[in-house]
Formats: sequence, C-alpha cells, structure tokens
Amino acid sequence: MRRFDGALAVKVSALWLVCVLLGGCEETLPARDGSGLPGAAGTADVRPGPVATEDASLPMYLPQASIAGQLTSAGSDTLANLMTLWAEAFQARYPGVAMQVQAAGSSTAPPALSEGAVDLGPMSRRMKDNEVEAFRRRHGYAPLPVRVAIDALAIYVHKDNPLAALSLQDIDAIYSNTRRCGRAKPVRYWGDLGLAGSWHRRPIQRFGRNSVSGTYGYFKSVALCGGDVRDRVNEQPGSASVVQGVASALNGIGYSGIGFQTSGVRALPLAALPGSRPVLATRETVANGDYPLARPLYIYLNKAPGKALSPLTLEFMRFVLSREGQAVVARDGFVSLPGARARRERARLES
Amino acid sequence: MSGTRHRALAAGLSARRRWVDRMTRHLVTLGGVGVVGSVVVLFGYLLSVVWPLFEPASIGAAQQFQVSAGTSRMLAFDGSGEHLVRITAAGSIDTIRVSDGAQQRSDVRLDQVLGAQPVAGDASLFALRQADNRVRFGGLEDRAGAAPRWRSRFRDAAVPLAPGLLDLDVALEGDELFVAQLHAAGLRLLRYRGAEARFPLEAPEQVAIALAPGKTWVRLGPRGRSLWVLGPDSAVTHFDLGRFGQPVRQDFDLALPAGVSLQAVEFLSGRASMLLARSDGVIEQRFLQPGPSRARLARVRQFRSDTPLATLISESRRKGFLAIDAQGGLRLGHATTGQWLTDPRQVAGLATRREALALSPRAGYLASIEPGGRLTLVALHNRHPEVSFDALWAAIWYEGYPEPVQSWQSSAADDDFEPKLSLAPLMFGTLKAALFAMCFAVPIAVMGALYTACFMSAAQRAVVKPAIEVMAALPTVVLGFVAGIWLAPVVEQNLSSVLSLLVLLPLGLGLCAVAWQWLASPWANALRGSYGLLTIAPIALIAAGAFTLGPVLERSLFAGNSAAWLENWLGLEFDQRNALVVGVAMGFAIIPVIYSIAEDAIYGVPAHLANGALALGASQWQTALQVILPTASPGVFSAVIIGFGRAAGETMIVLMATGNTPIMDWNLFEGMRTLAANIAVELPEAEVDSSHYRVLFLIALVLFLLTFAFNSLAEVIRSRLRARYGNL
Repeated sequence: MRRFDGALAVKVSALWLVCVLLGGCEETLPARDGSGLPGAAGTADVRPGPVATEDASLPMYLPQASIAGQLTSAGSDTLANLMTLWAEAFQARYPGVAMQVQAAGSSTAPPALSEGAVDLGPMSRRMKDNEVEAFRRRHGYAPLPVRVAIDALAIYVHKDNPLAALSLQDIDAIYSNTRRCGRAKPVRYWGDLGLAGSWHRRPIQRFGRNSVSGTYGYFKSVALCGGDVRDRVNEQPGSASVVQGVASALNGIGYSGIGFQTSGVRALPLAALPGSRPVLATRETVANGDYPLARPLYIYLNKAPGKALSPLTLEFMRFVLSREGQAVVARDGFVSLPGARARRERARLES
Repeated sequence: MSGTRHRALAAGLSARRRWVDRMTRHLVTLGGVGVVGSVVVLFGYLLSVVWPLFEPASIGAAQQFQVSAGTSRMLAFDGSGEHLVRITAAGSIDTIRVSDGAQQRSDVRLDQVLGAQPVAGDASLFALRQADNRVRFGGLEDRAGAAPRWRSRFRDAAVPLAPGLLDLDVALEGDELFVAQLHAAGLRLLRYRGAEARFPLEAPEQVAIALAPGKTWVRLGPRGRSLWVLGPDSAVTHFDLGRFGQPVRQDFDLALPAGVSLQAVEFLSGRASMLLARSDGVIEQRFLQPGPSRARLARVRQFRSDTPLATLISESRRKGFLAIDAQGGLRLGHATTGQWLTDPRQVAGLATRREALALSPRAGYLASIEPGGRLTLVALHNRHPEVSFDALWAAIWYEGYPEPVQSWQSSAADDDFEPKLSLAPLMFGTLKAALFAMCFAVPIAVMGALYTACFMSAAQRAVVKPAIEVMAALPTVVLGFVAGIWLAPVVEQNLSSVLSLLVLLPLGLGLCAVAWQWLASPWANALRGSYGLLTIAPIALIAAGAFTLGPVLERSLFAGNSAAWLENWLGLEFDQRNALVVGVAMGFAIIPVIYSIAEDAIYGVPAHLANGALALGASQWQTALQVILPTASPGVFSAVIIGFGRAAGETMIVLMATGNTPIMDWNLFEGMRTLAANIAVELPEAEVDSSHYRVLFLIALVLFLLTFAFNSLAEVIRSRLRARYGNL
C-alpha cells in the first residue's frame, strides 16, 4: 500500500483528529433524523413514515431460512451511517451474521476489494479507470457497481443572502477558471448574479472541499462541466466546515451534502440550464432527476461474470435493494432509489 | 602496601575511565555519523523516488506475431491492456493475447463490416457500421481466467444511419449515448437517454442540421455538449449542444497558411482540445478558450516535424499522442509540455492506417496489424510525460485556459484530467506564509528577548522566560484550529477595527514613547525596573481605541463594508482565511523559538561589556542597543533563521487556517498554499508511483533543500558575525 513518512503520518492523523473535532471530515454524514431533505418544497411534511417514501412497487424482503457467516465492508465515509444502519437491520434478521464496517473514504474501497479483504466496497463516486484496471489485473474482470441510494449536493449561501436561485452555468462561472459550461463572463461580485444594493459590489467568497474528497471530484466533473476550480476557492477539510465557513461569512458560498444544512445557511434552488425552472433538493426532485446535482451512491462487489455471488453478499444486497432496505436510506437523509432502478440493480446481481 | 593498592586502584580506575572514555567517544561518533547518515539516506530515498520523473521517454523493441489474415476495420486493446481485439471487413472478431500472440476467434460472426470504432467514454464498447447502413454495438466481456468474450450490446439495437454517410462519431456519456453523423447534406445527431449495455435502447431525440458540403470530419466534444465539424480547409464549425434541441452555431477560421490543408484531426483525451495535422508537417493544438465576449479557438502550440504525418493517435488517459509520419517514423509527443518526447524512429512493419493501429490503455504498447496477419507490438517507455522543468516552474497554457498560467491543481474525478503541477505557487505560498509570520513574530520575539535579558529583574525573568517557552508546547494543530475557526471570522467581522489597529499600534506606541520622555521623566527613575511592565497599558488602550473607532470608521468611510471597500478602492480581494490570520497564528508558534534562542544569546553577553558601557556613561538603552545587541547578533540572527525554517516547514497551521488557495499574490488579505500543507493534503490520495505521487516527493525534496539552504546560509553569516564580534 502507500508508504508514509512517519512525521507526516502523525500530522495526517492529527488532521483527522481535528476534523473529527470539527464535526466531520467525513464526506457527507447526513443528519440521522433525515431532516436534511424536506418532503416537498414548501410543505411542512418532513417526517415521512418508514416505508412511505419508497416506491411501493419494490418487493418486500423475504428472509431466507438460515444464513450465517461474516460480511466485511470498507470504503466511503458518506455511506458510513447508512452501511451501519443496513448492517444492524440485516443482523436483526440473521443473528448468525457478523458484520464489520470500515469507513475511511471512497478511495479505500478499490484496493480492499481487489485484495479480497472485504466483500462490499461502498463508494460515493464511480471507480476511476485506473482503479478498475488494478482490480482487473488481479481478477481478470471488472468489479460490479450497484447503485444503492441517491445523495444531493447542495449549494449553500449565508442565511441573509437574498439570492433566489442559481443555474449550473452560474456555479461554473463562480467557481471555475475554465467556464466550460458556457457562461461568457466570470462572476466576482454578487451583483454579477443580479443582486442590488449593498450586495451589488460585494465580492463572493468561495468555499469548497479539498481534493481528497469524492465530493470535490463530483463537483468539478458535473457542476464545472469537467473544468478546473479557480485558485481562490477556500479548501476545507470537511463538509461541516464548508457549511460553517459559509455561515460565518455574509458573502460566502459553498457546496456540501444536503444533510449538512444548518440554520446559518440556506440551500439554493438550482436550474440545470439558464432560464429553466430552479429546483430545490427534495425527495421528489432528487429521485426523479430534476435536481441537477443529485449523485448516485454505490456498493462495489467482486462478482465474476457468469458466477453467482456468495449467498451472504447476495442476500445483503437483496436486502439493501428491497423496500425495507430503501426505507433505511430515506431514514438516513438520503433519497431511496426509484422502483424501476432498484429492480434493474437487482437484475444485475443475478446476471 | 597501601601504596601498591593505591596504584592498583588508580590503574583499575584509569582503565575503567579509559574504557568509559573510549565508549563515549564511539557513542558520540556513532551518533554523529548516524545523524549525517540518516540525512543522506533520507535525501537518497527522496531522490530515488523523484528520479524517474526526469528519465527521458524512449521507443523500445518491436515484437512480431503471426495471426490469421484479414483487412482490419478496427484494432483495439481491452480495458486491461492484456488482449487486443480485431474486427475484420469480413465480420470476424478475433481476440489476441498480447503476451504471446495467441489468437481466439469469436463464435459471433457479423455480416460485412464497413467501419468500426471505439465508443468515446467507454473503453470496452465498440460501434460497428455494417452493410445495411446501420450501427450496431458490441463489447468485450471479461471472463475470469480466460480471454474476454465478444458480446452484443444494447440487445442488438441497430441505429439507422443517414444515406451518404461521410463520418461518424459515437460517445457514451454516463447513460446518454450520442451518435453524430456527417452526411452529404449536413448533420444528423441522435441522443439516447438511459442507455445501458444490458438493456435495449429507447427512442432517440434527433437533431438535423443542414451544412454546406466540403466537410470531412465530425467529432463530439466533452460530455456530448458540443459538436465540431471540420474539413481540409480553414473553416471550422462548432455547435453548442447545451440545449440539445437548439444547437448554437459558431464558426471559426483556422487561418491556415496558403496551400496548406488539414490531413488528420485527432482529439486529445477528454476531447477538450484537438490536434490538427497539417499537410506541411505541423501539428497544431487548439481548444476553446473562454473570451470576454465569445469563445476563441486560438492556435495554442505547434509541433513541427520534417516529414508530413500520416497518422495521429492520442492516448486515452493522458494528454500525450503518437505520430507516424509518411516514412513510417514513430514519434511520441505531449500536449501539456508542448514537446516532442522522442525523435522519430523507424519501425519495420508498421501500418499507417488508423484502423490497423491501437494504443494500449496506459500507452505502454503500440499494436499494428497488416492485412497479411503480421502483428507488430512496439514497447513504449514513457511513464511521466507530463513532468518537465517547464511544467514545474514556467507558465503553461493548459486546456481551456485563456492564457498561460503557473497553477497547481493535481487531481479530479475524471480520468482525462490535465494535471497542473506547477511548484511556483506552492513555493510562493511557503515564502509568503513564512514572511508574514516573521513580520509578526520577529519584532515581538527579539524585543521581548532584549527586554527580558537587559531590563527585567531576575525574579521577573525567572517567571517570564519559562512562561513564554511553555507557549512552544502548544500543539500547532490547536493554534491552527483556533485561528481558522475563531480568529478568522473575528478578523472578518471586525475588519475595520483590525485595520485601524494595524495603523494605530505602531503610531500610538511611538507617540507614547515620545510622551514618556517628555512627560514622565521625573517619575521615570522611580518606575524603572519592576514597573516597566506598565507599558502594556498603552497597548491595551490603543487596542480598545481601535475597536471603538473601527465600527465608526466602517460606517462613515467604508459604507458599512470594509471588505468591499478594500476590493473596490485598493483592488485587494478579501478572503476570510488570509495571510493576516496565518501570520498571527504562525507568529505565535515561532515566537517562543526565536525568543528563547535570542534571549539566551543576549543574556550570554559577558557582563563586563555592559558594565563597561554603563560606567562610561551610556544609558541603559544605549548599552542594550549598541553594545549588547551587536555582540549577541550571531545568536539573534540564528534565532531568526531557525524561526524562518520552522515557519517554512510548518504544516498544520497553514493547513487549517488558510483556504489552501494556490495563488501567487502578496495580498495580505488572501491565503496561500504551502509546500508542506500540500503534501499533507494530497499524499493520502496519490496513487503510488504515479506522476502526482512522485511530484509530491519532489516537493518534499524541494522543501528539504530549501531549509538546508537557509540553515547553511544562516550558519555562514553567523560565523562571519561571530568572527567580527567574537573578539569583543
């Protein structure tokens, strides 16, 4: 694996410690009560019942006679809570199953899966070609990605900021120096986005994640149309500190998982194209793809083509993609998969 | 008797003493050699990791195998680079193992194949154009322990093509499949949403655009958001597909020299920039640059060669490319650095048709196949083409940028990302952070040391010195944490007060000193010594004054917004995580270091020098400034340099209190990214032995050399000063 200079390792672990103190270096650990996502724009109904939000067409989970053994997982910290909740619910059905969940970051999943150290590799982004290739070199086939939930990336501004909405093109013009999404002029002041009064000449202060994070990569790839981040974006070690930075700066803007919203910031409705209708991140808009910064979360599996998965792994994945499993997703602040998508993913498990 | 015993004892004692002496000497020597040795080993290790970055690229030996004959319509590597797939005009599909040339023919037999090409965006998906003027898709499916198997994709979906097809480009972006067709009368573009290899294609959206004839190539841009149409002449047409149904057309003029035409068009990985091979042997790189009003397509760089080019192949994951000239000469180039990496090399049996050539995923092999079935594999050694001296230090014109810049941005989630690996902004940030910290720390620490050593009573010194030294025990993580979470927002919210403090404090202290001379001289003698600490009072008063004045100033002068005022009137961008905050926080970290060494040096000046000066009638202040400080200057100087070295290597404070913004700007109100913080942020994600990983080690080496140079410089100056003042 990687070799570290000892002192560096100490510093990195110290950084980690501080991040934990800060309230989460973890990519996106959403609020457990699921309050991050309102049920619908403007309605007060934010407390869905446990089974109410999933597609009723999803099959209920049918427990098998008896399964026992050990199941291990290593990967994304975005998915850390979710994996633990799934593991708990799964173990409640099969007391003979022992589960072990490690969540250091998405990029720990590919090597662990490739070495055969784990059965499940949760990731908040797709594997890069290099990672797939390393796996393929060892096993002769590519790992199988299974979508298990949907997360929404929100754009936050200070709670007193009067801005109504943004388009992805505006976000690109604020954050990038390449402007690949096509807006002609860069955006430096809030006035460039149409705000008047004291906001007109107020400079924009940008917050973002550092390059280790999967969220950073996703943001560059989708919101910046694959372009580059401006040099003047403040890199924060954790999602919570991005939100905290925005809350402490009147002229601030930042991106983070929707689950990190606090009372000091406001998540903006986003329009996919300039002029199209801005959409707030809600369960409905994220699930049906209207919200432009919705991203799938994956569990990667080591499945040889044409061979069946191990019964334990298969059973766990079937549980994850069942109505009960997707109820856990909703409870944890993410958005559950639409029924048709979940059925497609189940079909891939058995192909 | 007692004499002999004594002698024996003495002999025994001295033997023991000699043994202890010898052991101590060995131990000390061992320690010294160990220190030097470990530094050398560290240096050697860093160098060994960094060295491959600067190894030149080369074209290695060619291997040849014989496989069955057939006119190749497409030759491609599979995702792992272990197998080649060849599709022949007759419709047979062969997989060939790269290691030994073993061939396996697929059971699947297609009808006649007119053309075949890899689908951009998915390395294992291929589009086949067949005699019925339809495109079908297929791909290689991995099998554990066996050659990959050909499988039809999208459940045998057949996409009908326009009649009179001239060129075709197919791309899969996420789950959107784009099929762009250039035909005699114009363009036809199809988009299939929700495309997944195992499921049939749904009904497409379609756009038809009429175009004047004379075009040869159609290429999809990145993410299916744009479309390029080119011909042999200078006219280039670009369509923005941001709204799929309403393409926005923009025309460009390549301004080719008279009599020169285009011979080949190849997009670099990521399809953001294109390589245009001209008939006069020049390859141009061009890409869209955001302009003030409209995008431009400027000629960014040129690669010249003596013989006209036959074929261009771009690498799939880097910005490199491979050119084969009309005489079969093979050559490697790289777009970011704008250099040919090798000279042309003749390789026997090399095809020049694009459909008979393939480059492996990591660009380690070039494969070429002849109709007779002779397969040639050329090994390419080109591990770190993106790193060169220019790429590390000079301004580079990166894809999509309006101008050449020195920039650090090393990673992205996309495989086709062009890494920006300039060390200049990191070096700049390191010096900026260290200098601002020194501006804050040196006056306080050195003055403090002078005051403690020369003016304080022994009882006060016994309390004050250890107290300041204890500050050094404060972990820098905690300092950075406090600076980032508490100090930065406080400074931002009270910006006008902090600004007035910066102005008022030196001014006010000067005024106080004058006033003290003038007003308090009658009491001065009485207050000297133990009451000297009272000078803290004016500082507190000035600070309180500044914080009262600040809001008033902000309302009256800065229209209630000092940050905007700074930006609009002084042209200084204001950032919450800025050099001011870092300077103060890092200043705190290095004050104890400088203070402690400087104080020791000043306190160590022989008392007879000070006593002599005082006896000759010099005041205490004159003695301190003109006798003691110069004598102690070697020690004070080394304290300052050690403080600087500490600041340059400091990681956690910068990491946490700045935004780690790799900018090159001395502005006090913006942040920086330092060498050390950069290593801490990026090493955990760097793939071992990748260019990024080695460049991070290069940064470590640079940091090592930087501190080494500074310490050596300090040592030289110190010994000079010591020689000068040592005889006092």
